[in-house]
Amino acid sequence: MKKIALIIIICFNSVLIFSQQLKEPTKAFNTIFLDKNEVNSYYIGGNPAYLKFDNSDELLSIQSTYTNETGDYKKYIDPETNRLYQLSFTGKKTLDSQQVFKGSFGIQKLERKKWDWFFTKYYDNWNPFLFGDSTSGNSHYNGIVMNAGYSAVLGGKYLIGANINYSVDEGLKEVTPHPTSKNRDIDFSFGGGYLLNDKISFGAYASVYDYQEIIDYAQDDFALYQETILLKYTSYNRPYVLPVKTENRYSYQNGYSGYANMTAKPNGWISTALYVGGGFEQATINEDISYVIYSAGHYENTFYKGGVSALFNITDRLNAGLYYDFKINDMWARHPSYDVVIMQNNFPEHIIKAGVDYQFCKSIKAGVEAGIDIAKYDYKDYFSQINWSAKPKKTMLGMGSQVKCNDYFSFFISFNYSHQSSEDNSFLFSPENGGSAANIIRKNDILFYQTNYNQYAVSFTPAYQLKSLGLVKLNINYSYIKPEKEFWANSAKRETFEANLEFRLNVY
Amino acid sequence: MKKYFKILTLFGLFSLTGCGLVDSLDKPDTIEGHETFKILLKDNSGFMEKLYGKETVPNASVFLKSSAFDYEINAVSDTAGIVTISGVNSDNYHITASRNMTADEMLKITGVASSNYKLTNQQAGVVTLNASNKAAVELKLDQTIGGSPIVLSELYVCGPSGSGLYFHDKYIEVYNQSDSVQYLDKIIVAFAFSNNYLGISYPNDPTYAHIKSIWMFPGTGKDYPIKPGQYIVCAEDAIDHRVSAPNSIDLSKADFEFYKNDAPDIDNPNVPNMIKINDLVSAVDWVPGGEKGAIILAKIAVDSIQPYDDHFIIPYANVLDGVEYMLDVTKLDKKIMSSKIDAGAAGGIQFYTGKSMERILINADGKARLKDDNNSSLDFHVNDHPTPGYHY
Repeated sequence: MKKIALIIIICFNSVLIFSQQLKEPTKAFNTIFLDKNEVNSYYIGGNPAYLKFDNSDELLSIQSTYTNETGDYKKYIDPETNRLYQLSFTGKKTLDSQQVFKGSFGIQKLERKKWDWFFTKYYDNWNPFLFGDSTSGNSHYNGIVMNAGYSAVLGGKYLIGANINYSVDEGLKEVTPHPTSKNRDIDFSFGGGYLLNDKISFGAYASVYDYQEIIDYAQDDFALYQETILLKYTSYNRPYVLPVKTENRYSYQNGYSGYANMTAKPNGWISTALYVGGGFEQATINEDISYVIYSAGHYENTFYKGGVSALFNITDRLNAGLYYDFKINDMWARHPSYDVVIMQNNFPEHIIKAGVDYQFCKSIKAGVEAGIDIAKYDYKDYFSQINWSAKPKKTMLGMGSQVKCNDYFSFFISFNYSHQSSEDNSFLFSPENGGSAANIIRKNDILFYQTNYNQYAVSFTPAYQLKSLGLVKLNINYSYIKPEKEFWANSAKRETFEANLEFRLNVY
Repeated sequence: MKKYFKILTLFGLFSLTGCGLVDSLDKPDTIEGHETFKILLKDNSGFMEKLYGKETVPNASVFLKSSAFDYEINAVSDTAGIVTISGVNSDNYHITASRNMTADEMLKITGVASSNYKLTNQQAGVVTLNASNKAAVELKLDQTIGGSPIVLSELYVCGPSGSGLYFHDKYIEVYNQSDSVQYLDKIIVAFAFSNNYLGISYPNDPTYAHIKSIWMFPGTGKDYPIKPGQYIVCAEDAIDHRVSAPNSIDLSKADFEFYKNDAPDIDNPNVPNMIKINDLVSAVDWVPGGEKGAIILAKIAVDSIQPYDDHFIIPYANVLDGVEYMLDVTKLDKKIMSSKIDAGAAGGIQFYTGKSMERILINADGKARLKDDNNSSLDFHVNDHPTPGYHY
């Protein structure tokens, strides 16, 4: 289940992963089809000082991406369809033997089709203070994304580096009352590393992000003919329902985190990298009503995060990998007007994977990976007096193959199957103030996490080498999720299709 | 632990960048919905002191309604005058507290066995129940004698749907609550004064209601009776508005009409006209605010109305009834009329939606009555369509 959220985050927060986009498209796997040069603190943890160890070649590339996620197995707050168009230009350059620079620039359009009620861009990050209106329709966000990363080696042993992601966009709901929004996102990180010897290095890095969203509801010409109800969600139930037509909402979110990392390659056949750290993030939301600023809520999350990746080059042909990643969240939200807690959520997640790949011959390499993703939700919505919990366990099995047909043409193909089963589901609702569990407005937002489902995903990535000029590569991914029908209609499903066409120009 | 992360991260980040500060909140100690609220009812009249030797009010009926959400609470104060409420959210609650004084009690207090006295919360119509504040909320009750026999029963001011900026079909409706014939002659209809542009209003004036747009029912004393249970409609223009606005209503049979003889206004000769005393609000017609405003009924001689700056004032004692309405009914801090007249606000209606505000029909002592606790948040509901001359 968390994977879906992860996919959405990846798709719609591309700026957050921009510096990683040059990596080959084997994102379906964490333990196979790895080069041992990729097991380092640049890929595991993301310390920008280790940009020097980015495994990609120097290049200039143009990428065009199309992503379409649609279906009715979704949370109440989700649109029926998410669609992303993106065009980006990326370059990497080694300035001299000690310095590396990488940057990118992109334009993108995000469409949300049949998005009922909501008009908050980052609506799915557990922040309960959502905003929208009583109309249903399409919304879109047009904007730019930029990234720059730099790292340098000092004195042969010390690494420093920094990375910045920046994006701005403007949103518009395409139906009356035509609210607009402006979004700005900055994510900055910097770090250092120490190369103890050619086998072990240590490092540390910190990152800060700052996000701002301004939503503007103003009267348009249709205000005379259509009643507008603004909806302010604070919980799963009981939205503030206000018959006002104009309002400005300002949302400020920022996060701070710090990590320590280590990379160790004690011998020729073992490569490991790990990181551990934590931080916190918060969101403060204000609203401007008739020139008076009111608080609309405050949300915080303290988290701990870490992971380890190990690659074993058992023979020249056989490799094995292990992967572990965790994040433990402790969230709470404060009432807009009173000094009371209205929401708490403790949410740990652990992912473990293991896999092997084997080079059958010079042109064929195949691998298989298995894993498990265990999460635990303990959500207390004091505002609506709704408590729910779930322990989703997702088992994953995937296989893939790299085939090199000749000197010019190659392809990668993979298939992944996942099954999620959720245990210890509970759903407590105190009906003291009327209503019943069946009538909770955002009931599907809870059931979504408690649903058992099967997920199938395939990817196909052909690539054609244009002699010394560069490379043309197409990456196609398709994912299909079918929930068990305990809570959902027989036809419920969620499909994601993604196509990425890249032209990569070699730089010498 | 979060603090350590903040310190570590911020030290690293801002010692280099020299910019930015974190403005973080501490996690509150109080959990919403887990606290018990107490409201202490205190007698401001001295009746309880004379009866029981204490100032608290036992056995009073209390009704609360959340200003933000659609739930209501009925309770009765205990022997210590305390109302205990649990399992509800922090919010501003509209409140009416009432204790009827029996004839025996009044005999002990005043020496006269009167049965139309009661204690009510005239000074505050809203209490804040805040889970982080453990102290009991105090509510003072004053003595009330009877109530106004004539009340505003319906306000239709937003305009019809689907007809652009058509606003000529507004009306107010008054109702005789009593069991005897009353007379409308010379009763004043006025708007509560406010200047939205300058942000001026007088909701906290201790003595006077500030008014503008003053009109008066015609008659010399007993020319215009209103029978018990009768509705009287006073229309902006007493015509069939459906001709110009298909979703509007027929007001050609209204009982009175606001006709502005110094403007290009419509006059239905078959409908008696209200008498304009002073109306500078609109150059074209009698026009109450479409989304917010306040309307007052008062019984006072015209020559007793005093000018004040660019408007007029009348004593609260002369006000028969008053109703305030707002677009956002949760923002009672923006009220323009004193809570002595109306502790709450009706409405929540947008322009040109064809909705009206109507007083709630209740059964009191076996008789149909319109709710009149001087708190329009509790006394009114919203109709999908106007109901001139009848109840929804």
